[in-house]
Amino acid sequence: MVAPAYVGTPTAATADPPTAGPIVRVRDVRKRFRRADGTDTNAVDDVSFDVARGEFLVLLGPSGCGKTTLLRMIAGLETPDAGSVEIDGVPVFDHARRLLVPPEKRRISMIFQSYALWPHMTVNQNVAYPLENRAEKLSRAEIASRVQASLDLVHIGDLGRQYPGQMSGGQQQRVALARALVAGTDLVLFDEPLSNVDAKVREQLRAELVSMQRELGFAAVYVTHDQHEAMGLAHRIAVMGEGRFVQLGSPRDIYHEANSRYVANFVGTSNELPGTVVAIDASGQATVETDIGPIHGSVGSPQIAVGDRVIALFRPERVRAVPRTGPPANGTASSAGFGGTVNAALFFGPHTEYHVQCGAHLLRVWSNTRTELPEGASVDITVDEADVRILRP
Amino acid sequence: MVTIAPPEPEAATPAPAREVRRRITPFAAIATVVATAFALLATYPILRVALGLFVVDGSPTLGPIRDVFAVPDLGTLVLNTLIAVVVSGVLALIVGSGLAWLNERTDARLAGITDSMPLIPFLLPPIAGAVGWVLLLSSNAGLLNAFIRWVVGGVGIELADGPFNIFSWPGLIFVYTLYQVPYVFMLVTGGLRSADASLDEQSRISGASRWTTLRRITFPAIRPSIGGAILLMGWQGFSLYSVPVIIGSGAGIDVLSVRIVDLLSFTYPPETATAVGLSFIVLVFVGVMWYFQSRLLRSGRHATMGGKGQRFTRQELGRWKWPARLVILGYGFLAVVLPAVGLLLVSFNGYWTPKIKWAGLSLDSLRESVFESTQTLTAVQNSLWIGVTGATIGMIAAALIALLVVRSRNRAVRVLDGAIKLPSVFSHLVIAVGFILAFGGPPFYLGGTTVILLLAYISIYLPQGSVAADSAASQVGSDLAEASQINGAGGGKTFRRVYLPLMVPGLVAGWAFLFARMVGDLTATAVLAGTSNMVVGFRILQIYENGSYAELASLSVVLTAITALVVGLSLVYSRWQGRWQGNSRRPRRAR
Repeated sequence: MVAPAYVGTPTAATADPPTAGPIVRVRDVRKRFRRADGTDTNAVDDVSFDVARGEFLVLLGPSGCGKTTLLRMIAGLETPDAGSVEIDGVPVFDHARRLLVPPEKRRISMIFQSYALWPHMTVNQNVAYPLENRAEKLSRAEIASRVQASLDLVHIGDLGRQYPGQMSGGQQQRVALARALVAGTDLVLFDEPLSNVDAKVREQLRAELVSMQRELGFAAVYVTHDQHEAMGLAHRIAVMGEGRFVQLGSPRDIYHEANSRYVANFVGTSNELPGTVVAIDASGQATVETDIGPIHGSVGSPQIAVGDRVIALFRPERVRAVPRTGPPANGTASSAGFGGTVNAALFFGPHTEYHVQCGAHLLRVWSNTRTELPEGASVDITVDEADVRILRP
Repeated sequence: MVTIAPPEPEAATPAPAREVRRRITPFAAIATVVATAFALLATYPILRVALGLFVVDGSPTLGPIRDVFAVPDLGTLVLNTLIAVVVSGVLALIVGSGLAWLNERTDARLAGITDSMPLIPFLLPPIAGAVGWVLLLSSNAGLLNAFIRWVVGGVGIELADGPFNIFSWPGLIFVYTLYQVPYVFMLVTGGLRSADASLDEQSRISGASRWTTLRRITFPAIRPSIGGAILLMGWQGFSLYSVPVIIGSGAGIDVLSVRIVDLLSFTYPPETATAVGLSFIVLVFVGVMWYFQSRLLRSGRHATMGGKGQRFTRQELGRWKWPARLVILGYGFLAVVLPAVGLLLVSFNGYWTPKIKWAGLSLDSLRESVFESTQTLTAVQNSLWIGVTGATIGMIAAALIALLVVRSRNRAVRVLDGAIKLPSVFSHLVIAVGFILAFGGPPFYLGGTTVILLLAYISIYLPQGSVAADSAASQVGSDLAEASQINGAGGGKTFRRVYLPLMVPGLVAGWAFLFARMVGDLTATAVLAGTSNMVVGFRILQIYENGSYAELASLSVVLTAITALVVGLSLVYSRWQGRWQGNSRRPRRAR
């Protein structure tokens, strides 16, 4: 049952780190868990990706999608069942070569969801700990000054002598951040670090985290289930589902050019109209016949052909609603138009959400104009072709 | 430098690849060996008892069972034991639950009681308490009796003796009860703390009186805790030897535990087979209680436990607040203060008399009977040696095993853990008998040595140490260790810098309890000790048989002083070590 397996040190740990190339390279990584009922489930299923130097990558997905498992495999806290992981050009896991570098040899930092501050050590001792373990021996004074600099960076320079148990959640979060940054590692892993603090503190910490990351230039892999957090932090977002990357791209791409209903709905609110494809042109623009009229949009899912059942999907803030003056609107060549009735108007501050009944469908429209459409009003709604994604149901 | 094992053939074996990958660390190897050794130490003697029922001198027989039924007063023996355990158990349940409720849910709460109550059996070992109460309430010479006679004499009522007599059924049950109460208190307090207080508040809002709420909601909701208390009392009660040997013998009330010891240690030649048979009766009683308790747990109709720290208002008792507090304090007075005073007075007086010469009190008698008696001094030295060694070995083993269990999901590890905890479901008496059978004769020949005492104590009290170590280890969240690894510390350093400092307060407390238990043990001692391996417990029995009461009191005072000192110091140390927990806001620990 128990056999010595992966032991080793990074091959190039002593060599100068390559300046080019990704900081993390993950190839075909898989992790299987056995459920209580005895069946196997793939927590992470053949995932491959790179993280560039200085990049902020967010792993986004609902709970149970494998994002934390993936992060812990990069950290070395979980062992993959297959594949390989490289950090800074150094292989740290390779199933084929039976290589496994333990977490303490990987030269990374990590912030845990629980912060994992050692309660029996003061803030200073907590933050000094990573420095004490690095290969190069630092003098006492050097450690103290770097600890202080790190604490100053996160604005808790005067709390060094306190124990974590005596601090608020936001302050604990800052200590965890200081501890992760103090050693100056090129890669910092974040496991939902902001989920335990209240909304105001969360917003503030997020803003500070962004400016710190951009300034210090470390690469970050950040796990969260909060799409707002993901959008606000990431250079790139990987939306995960059932152990796989469903889509990997910039926040804008993910939001506007989702490749599936799953992604579109996870990162924002959307209107969905089911229909049948009646025409596709060479540039990937499709016309879909729905039961309230035709709609045009760009094809998002692969392999969609004429005659397929699809969903036309568009964002509420890309829809315009105007009071109807003449007969019900019809679509034009570049935009769809439907007539409808305002069922409800909900004022949220930045925008007003109208629930517009169009035939059997209830469409959501976000408008930020000062003029208000009264409930019960007849409206024409239009949506541009560029704002519609045609996706598999 | 990179690869150690040859590459795994890339065959089509997808799922089981995971199992190959667990690294076996030196730590895991050592811990597994230790766990196996202690599991064997725990299970083997128990097996020998079971075997001893049917096999005598290597040949199968039903002799022991026949012998048991041939015991002339078997019925009386069983009946007496049942009466003592059941009556005192019911009383202790009422008193202990009541105290726990007063202290946990009403404004009669006294700061410090919650922490000190479970310590009572450790501060004043039952044997010392029993001796103390004999000195207080003996019909003629009892100090308290004399005091009461003097008080009522002042109002014109002259009594020749009494009014109380400790050597009687009420006396026996009274002292039994005193020592069962802390267990009930401890478990019911735990239950009340984790049960949601809003259940009670809802009941009051629904129109139920305070009493109806108690009867229909509060206590039924914590049935598992109460069941646990009953079970614990059963284990303790059926094999309790100290109280019945002192008080029961004087009152002419024979119970099973005393008879078993008599057959083994004070009969020549020892009637081991009959003793084994009688131990089996004890085993059956405990088994029956265990069965009912597990039924109770499985029924599942008890409260869902909410998270800790809900906000609730303590019930105000109004004018009953101070009477309630007096009841709480009164228990401590009866269980600790009075018997301790009795012991001190007799010890300092030099002999037992109801007429204390206050001017003549001195430490002379204490010095003579303890420090100038070779036998007693040897006993104290042996006990200290065994206590320190046993508690240290026990706690180190418990800590290793606890960490092994926390870090491993291996089924074999769970089995070992279960085996080590097995002695906790058997009565101490049965285990002690098992040690005689297992190690007393060939090939070990450990009978009459301090080593057999040491082994038996470790086996008997390791489960308690294990519980302390388990809770210490489980308090250290796995993320704390992972964070240490991420920050560059290897396994050894993580153990030294993270696990150990966080576990030390719990381990020290566990050590002190083990020490107090081992030094104050009488049950296993009575079976296993003798003149060649003299320990305090055995010396107390000897003095009780043919020594003076002043000697008895003096040795009890020394025993109490030793255990109280060690337990007290460990508490101070744990508090000091845990100073970083000072604020009520504990760091969050997920998973």
